[in-house]
Amino acid sequence: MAASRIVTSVLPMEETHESTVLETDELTKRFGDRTVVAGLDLRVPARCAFGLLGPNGAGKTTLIRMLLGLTRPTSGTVRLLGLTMPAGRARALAGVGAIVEEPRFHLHLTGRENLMVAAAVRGAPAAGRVAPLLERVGLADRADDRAGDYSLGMRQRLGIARCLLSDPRLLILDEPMNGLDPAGILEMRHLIRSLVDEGRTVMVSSHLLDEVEKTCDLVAILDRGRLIAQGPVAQIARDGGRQVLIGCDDPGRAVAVLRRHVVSARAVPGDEHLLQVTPAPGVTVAEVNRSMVEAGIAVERLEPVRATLEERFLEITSRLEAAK
Amino acid sequence: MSTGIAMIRADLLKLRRRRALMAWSALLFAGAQLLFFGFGAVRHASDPAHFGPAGGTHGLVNALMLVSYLGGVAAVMIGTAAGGGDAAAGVLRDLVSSGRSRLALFAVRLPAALLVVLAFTIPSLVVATGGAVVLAGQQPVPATGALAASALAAAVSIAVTTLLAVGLSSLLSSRSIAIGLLLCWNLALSRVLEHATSLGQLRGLLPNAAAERLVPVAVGGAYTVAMPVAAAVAVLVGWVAVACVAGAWRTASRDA
Repeated sequence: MAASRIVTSVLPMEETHESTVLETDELTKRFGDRTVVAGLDLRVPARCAFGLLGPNGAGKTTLIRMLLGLTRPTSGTVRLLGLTMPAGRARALAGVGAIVEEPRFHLHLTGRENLMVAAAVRGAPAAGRVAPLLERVGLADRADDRAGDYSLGMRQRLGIARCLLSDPRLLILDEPMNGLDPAGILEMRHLIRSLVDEGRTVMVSSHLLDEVEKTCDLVAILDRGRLIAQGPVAQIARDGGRQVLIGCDDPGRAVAVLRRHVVSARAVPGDEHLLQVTPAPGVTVAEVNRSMVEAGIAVERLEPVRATLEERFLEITSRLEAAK
Repeated sequence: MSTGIAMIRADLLKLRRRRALMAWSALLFAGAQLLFFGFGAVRHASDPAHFGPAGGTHGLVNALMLVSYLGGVAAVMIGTAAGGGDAAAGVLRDLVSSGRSRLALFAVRLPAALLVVLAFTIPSLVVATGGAVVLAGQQPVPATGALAASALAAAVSIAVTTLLAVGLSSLLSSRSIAIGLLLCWNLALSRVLEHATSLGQLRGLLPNAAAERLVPVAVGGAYTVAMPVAAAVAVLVGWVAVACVAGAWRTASRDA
């Protein structure tokens, strides 16, 4: 995608409540007896990349559809850019750009014509942004080709351009990395960060945990329609507990020696001299080390494990699964 | 340019760029007229004793019937494309999430579809009325007033069909079902009901019976269902109103 940026006029957040662009209170959606979103209380602060994580069926897309007024909540409230929905729908959504599920277009129209159609409903200034946005997402050369001839990656980029037509303060992107090759994913990551740098808020729904971790500042984890964790990415990942890798000459004896000092100790597959242990609460890594040395075990390696969001996500969702 | 006009222009663009639809519409509207009068003129020229002139009042009646039937088919296709095109393409959710009123999204489909259909209807009516005059031969030429009234009646009939198509396809989730229902109604069921004398005056509520009432007697002959012109207009307006309200309600209330 082109590095050039369009001239933007992102408005200050004076209309929003305490710089929160999105708030939901007890937001619930039921389809018959099935509850897809259950009493969701979500807060998305302004000017950040916010990741919405969850396994399939977690309710991410339904949540986004309710936020955009595409489907009505069963109960609960939504405040978007400081405006209560649905009363403030028109004004609120005028400041929002969104891709829901996959970006869809009139396939018989060109990329440029699709943007012109989308610009027509967004008011006069949007029409003037069509050409710069095509340039920004790297589609200027293919702008006059039919959208039906575009690859999925090109349609994602055209979808981003369509999102930006209204110069939105909040972008909601549902699985924006879907169908992109590694270069496309990298471009999308840079684009999202550049949008945040411009003062916009970008909410990204994704199941690509690694990408969310690399792209987002904050994350919310949904499971079966419920919010199970929310906060800065680093904090969510860290909350999983500290672990340490121990390389030693006698792992079997080390496990026996450490029994009193650790919550868990297991061999790392593929390396017979390596253990992954979780120290018990109050036990420091130094104490673990001393125990082994005093027992005559030669410690060759002692390395803190950096918890990833993926591990934390799987830990949380599997724990919930086990609890059922 | 106001947003409303820009939206109508956008809907016009969506329709105009459907090349196959535009080609078929041109064929059904004007192509059918050219074929009809061309074939009739050649046949008359080759054997005047057995085949009368292609034009005249008789030719006009047949030409207008072609406009009504074949043009009606094209109007259904254009109207359903206008009414259901956004939903079928999956674009409706983007339009809705722009914050624009759903009623406005529906409303702009109506003038867009009408403009496209009239762009085909007017030339075909020019060919129909022109052919009736130029190719009248020894037959009496229909009076100017009768020509104009007949063309107007045909245009109204096509416009009503178009608006019904926009409304019904906005109401239903499937464009193909809307096309099937409308063609079945226009080409078969409503014609059968119009001639079902057991229905009595109820037949006056049929849109085709009302549209026929607008054709001058000098051209169309005796009416199958007699009714005042005002009643015929009211019936047509009623059908359009019901279809549009239903389409607008569905566009406003459906999950996008």
